[in-house]
Amino acid sequence: MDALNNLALGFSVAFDPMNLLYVFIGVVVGTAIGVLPGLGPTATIALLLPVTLTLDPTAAVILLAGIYYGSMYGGTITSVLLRLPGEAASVVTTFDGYQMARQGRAGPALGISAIGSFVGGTVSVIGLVLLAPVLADAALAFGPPAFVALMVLGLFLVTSLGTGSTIKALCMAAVGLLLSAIGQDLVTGKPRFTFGQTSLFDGLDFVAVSMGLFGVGEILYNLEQTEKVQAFTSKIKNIWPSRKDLKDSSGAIARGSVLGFFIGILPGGGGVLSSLASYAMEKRRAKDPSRFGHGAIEGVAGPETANNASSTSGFIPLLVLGIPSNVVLALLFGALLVHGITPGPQMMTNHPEVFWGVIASMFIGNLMLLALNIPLVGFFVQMLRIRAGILVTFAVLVVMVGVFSISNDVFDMWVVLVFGIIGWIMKKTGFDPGPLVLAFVLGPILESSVRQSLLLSGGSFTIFVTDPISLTIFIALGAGVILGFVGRGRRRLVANKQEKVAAE
Amino acid sequence: MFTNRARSQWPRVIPIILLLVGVAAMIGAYQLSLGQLNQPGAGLWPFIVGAFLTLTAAVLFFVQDPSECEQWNRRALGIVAGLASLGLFIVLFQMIGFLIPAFLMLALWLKTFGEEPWRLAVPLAVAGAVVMHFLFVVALGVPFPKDIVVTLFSALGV
Amino acid sequence: MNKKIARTAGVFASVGIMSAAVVGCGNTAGAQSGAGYPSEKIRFIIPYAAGGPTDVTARALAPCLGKELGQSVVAENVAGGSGALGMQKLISSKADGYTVAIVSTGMTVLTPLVNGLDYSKEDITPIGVISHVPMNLVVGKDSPYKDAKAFIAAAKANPGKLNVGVSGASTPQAIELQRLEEQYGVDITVVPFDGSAGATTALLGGHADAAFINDAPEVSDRIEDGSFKALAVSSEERQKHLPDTPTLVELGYPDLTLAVTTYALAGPAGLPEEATSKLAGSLETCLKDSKTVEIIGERFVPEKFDDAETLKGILDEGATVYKTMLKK
Repeated sequence: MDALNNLALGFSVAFDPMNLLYVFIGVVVGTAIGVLPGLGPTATIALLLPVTLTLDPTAAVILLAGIYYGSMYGGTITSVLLRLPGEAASVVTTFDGYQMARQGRAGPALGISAIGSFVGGTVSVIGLVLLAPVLADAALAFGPPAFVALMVLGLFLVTSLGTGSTIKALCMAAVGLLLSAIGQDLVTGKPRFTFGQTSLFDGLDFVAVSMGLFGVGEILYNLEQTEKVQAFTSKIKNIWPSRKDLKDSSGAIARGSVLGFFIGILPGGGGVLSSLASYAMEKRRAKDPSRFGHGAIEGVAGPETANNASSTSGFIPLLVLGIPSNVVLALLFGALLVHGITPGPQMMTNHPEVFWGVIASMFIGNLMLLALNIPLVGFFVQMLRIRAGILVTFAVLVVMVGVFSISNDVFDMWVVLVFGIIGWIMKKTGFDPGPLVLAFVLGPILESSVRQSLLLSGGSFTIFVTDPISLTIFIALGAGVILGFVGRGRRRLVANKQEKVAAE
Repeated sequence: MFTNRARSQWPRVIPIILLLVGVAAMIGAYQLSLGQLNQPGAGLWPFIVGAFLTLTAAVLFFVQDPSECEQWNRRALGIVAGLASLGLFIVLFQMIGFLIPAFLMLALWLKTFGEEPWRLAVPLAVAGAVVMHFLFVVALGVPFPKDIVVTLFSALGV
Repeated sequence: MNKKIARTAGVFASVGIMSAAVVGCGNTAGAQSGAGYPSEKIRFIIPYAAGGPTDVTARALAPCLGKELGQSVVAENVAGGSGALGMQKLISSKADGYTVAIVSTGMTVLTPLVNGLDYSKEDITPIGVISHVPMNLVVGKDSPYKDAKAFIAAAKANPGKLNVGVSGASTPQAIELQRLEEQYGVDITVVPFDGSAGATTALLGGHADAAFINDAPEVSDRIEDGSFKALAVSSEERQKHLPDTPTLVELGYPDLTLAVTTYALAGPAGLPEEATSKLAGSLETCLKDSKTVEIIGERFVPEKFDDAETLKGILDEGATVYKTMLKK
């Protein structure tokens, strides 16, 4: 079989001792970077890219890819422990992960994430080997109108997150969309709401906004309520996921793997959507959806798995079509170009050792990450025993410096500070930052796809009906909304009854 | 703000602020030119979003449940002081580099929010500032603003 | 408790050491070596993020420049505002030859005009051209348009119906297509995508009729394997690897030659003569270095070195055209 021969070649490359070392360094640095709030994979790979120029191309890409998926593991840790999501996909993890940590179940949350990420990553690598060329072409069918439909779907999913009321979520989503409109207009190039600030031309940085709203906002809130900080750190129930935890999340992990794999292939912005979709799916399937947002383990397992699966399958458009679907993959694209290798249809034939070597290294890398992360869970959980004041102080400083390193701009530090204040006030007034931050991510893709669609169709909205994918998604969405209303009405009745009982 | 009446009413301020932001966004977007559907202008999308925000904020004003909100207390003033110190950190960071502002910020926060004694706060702050300097500047090569401490040391030939 | 603090510190320290092991020491300051320029390390600003074409070109050049000048040339990405942040950083640094940048016509001339920024080409000292990257007008392999003539005829017959993807709004190539419409009455709809990759995706998926994108290796690969067809190139002369593809000039649009990304080396305004000539000399030598040229792209590097004067001419022409275009 061809795939097997190729894979054998890949493994012979990946098992080269030097390459093994680079996989290892990659995943270790990735994990470490993911743990440092503010310093995400984008900043790190950008910083390390020049160094890899001295390596041979396979080693360079193996190393950088290792950092990328390693940081996906690492990013979970801060989301769970400190509610500091360093990238869009882990925003979803904060909902139940952080709640689990507050209930003393940080260990199981981190453990199940590591296991889920491993499964998701591995499933995705297998899918990559077997299905890459077929799927890459299929993904191209997703044009601007299909993306509009996907983003609208994403926004609907956003409002189903968290525990607050729907109207509050909608309101915050509107704020997020508005904030994402800041910066240069994609189509006309006009600066919008930039108030003459050059730093605002590219818009607000996601990491700065999310670190401010979630992390700093949460820290400020906790500082205001001293007693809670103390209570939070004292109890750590168990470090490993129990058998029940594993059983509860196995379905979520299986579904997350498949969902993440397919969403990740779409050119442009799979990551957030995959974790969002997985969360929404788990919440919908659950017998008691009200547990979500209060520490449901499936709400951590599913999205984390989907996130990792999609970050691996994101390599399909890069390696097969030469299309980087996110910023990190764009950096890897550049790294390959510098080495004289053009990612794209000819890469498989011209540089099979790089292509299959990188894929095989991902197998090994995921295994290493699992081996690395399981013992580390215990270690990171111990971090919660550090006195809150010390932990929080250092976290704030690392966040500040981390966001500076995104584009070496002091402006981003002010952004963190301002959004920290907003996040604090939101927390006090019962608003969830999740919908805001996720709408902030989806907004620009939605806007540009809408405008591209309208340009393509000459201003006619029929394009959303004539495009088969967009039509399918919109129909499904419509059906979902109607069913959702019916379901919610029923659930509310039940909930009201329960509340009455509980009140007595 | 601390009178009784204001206490129960203050959360109502939030939808009003959001409403004003929405209206301001619509006005700003209108000035950016809305264009037409086959030739959408820069302002069309922000205008739609602004309208959406205005609408949701208006609904929120009437349905908001003030009991979800927490009251202000004296400790909030401490938080404001903490925020001011962070602002000062950013300003100083830009002027004199990382090490001194980082030390000051760490020491202050450890002492006030962490309620650690000085004999622990000061060494921790020194260690934290130095370790982070090495991590970000030396290891990762992040170009921090020129640091007066580093300049001083290199001038002394250390 | 102290033990735990020590442990946390340990995490931070070990992360530092691990990263240091990977990074090595890129920041060793150049030793003071005798008099004259350059006597210390040179900062090389790249106004775009790592990994993009600007970055690739600059990174390819930096080591050779360093070797020629006898000082390390430290590349630094200052991304943001379509190159504006990096440009402003360059302009605000001391004009002593220790800060240079890779610049393009877009960021020097177009960006300040579009965004109403208060810098212009007068704020930099041009040193020399690194490369000229032309644009290709390409269609998919199943496109009904066999050549440029057929495409343009179709565009004229159905005004506004043909969609051409470009890598972004307010890029030189988008403006060039606008000029095609305004000066020559070829009414096509320009659809800006997110970078060349976005435009390529749209063309491959059949969502756009054509794309007007950089002649980057990933595009020429596709032309070679037949999945794209090149209808026209934007350079003044035909491209060596596409001998059968006419230029826009040949097709009857003599002044549509601005859709070429020119990468150049520049310093802040008022660079001392010694520094300028030394940098220009090193650049000229480096553009003959086979390893450097291979990464930048052999066909993009001009055969004869384009000096500061030529570069100035290119920037002036761009400025004139863009000013009149954007006034409308």
